[in-house]
Amino acid sequence: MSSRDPHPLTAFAQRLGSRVPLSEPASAAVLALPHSVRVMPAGEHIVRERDRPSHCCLMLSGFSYRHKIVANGGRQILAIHMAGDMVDLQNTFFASSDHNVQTLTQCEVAFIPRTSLEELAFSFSSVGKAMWLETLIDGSIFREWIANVGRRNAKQRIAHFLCEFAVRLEAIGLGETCNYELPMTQEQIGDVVGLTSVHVNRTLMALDREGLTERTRRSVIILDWQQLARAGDFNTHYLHMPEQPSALA
Amino acid sequence: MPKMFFHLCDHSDYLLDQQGSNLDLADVPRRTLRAAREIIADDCLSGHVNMGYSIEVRDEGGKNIHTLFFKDAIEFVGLE
Repeated sequence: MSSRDPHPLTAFAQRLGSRVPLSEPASAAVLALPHSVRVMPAGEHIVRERDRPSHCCLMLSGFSYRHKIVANGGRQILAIHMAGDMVDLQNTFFASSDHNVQTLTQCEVAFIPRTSLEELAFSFSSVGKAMWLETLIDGSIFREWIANVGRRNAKQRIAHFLCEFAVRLEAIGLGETCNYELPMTQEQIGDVVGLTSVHVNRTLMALDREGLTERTRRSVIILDWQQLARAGDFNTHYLHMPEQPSALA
Repeated sequence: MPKMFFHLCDHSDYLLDQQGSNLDLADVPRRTLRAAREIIADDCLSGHVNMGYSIEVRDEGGKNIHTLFFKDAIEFVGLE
């Protein structure tokens, strides 16, 4: 999805339709949602913890991340969001946000009033079910990330993250599974996998030395997908994707 | 905040930090200690720990700001 799309919400309608088939009136109602599009620079907050958001956000381009800051100042990144993701569908019903959402790169974001989303979900059960599924898949990814941080070693955690990013990028047409741009610093990767940047650097280098990956600045080439997936204990089941990525076909 | 580069050294072999991190000078020792202990802990799980490492922190001009040897990052007890 990009700003060249004819309607900013087309990809959202398609995404929901890939979860649950939508009737023409339901699709039309999704496209008719009131919204405003903003271009946001990297590092800007989309949602702050304890905010009472009046809107939900749909990522049209770029990358954002959910995170929490703990008492010692440490940041845990809880999710990465990319084009087509509804970043905080859960805030449709929560009184206040329990986490932060911040742009990772420059982003185009569509802001949709939460009341309109709620009305839509209750007017068209197919849309409601698709939105429910979206939040369930978010939950599935959260569970996988908890397992990753809690029960895997550094190499497994990073290999897993590289695989997931690759598969999700390919699914939205922004990269090939084995060749993509990772728009994150080592520090940010560390905040995803619960490691320091020094440890991330060492582990990424180890993956390169083992011939699993090749990196130049932000570009990642996966030289041996099967081995990297094995190293990261990775499979796509928890992503609940409608289609199997090419490298796994 | 100044940018600091955390290079991991194994005697003569350097694993360079090409990106660096922006942080206060006062935070450098704590951050370095955390990184060393984390790597040691992860290596412990694999059963092989190389205590010959050190972390050298340099600023953007290449000036050494802080060095921590892994052997100084943790205390061993009960080895005798």
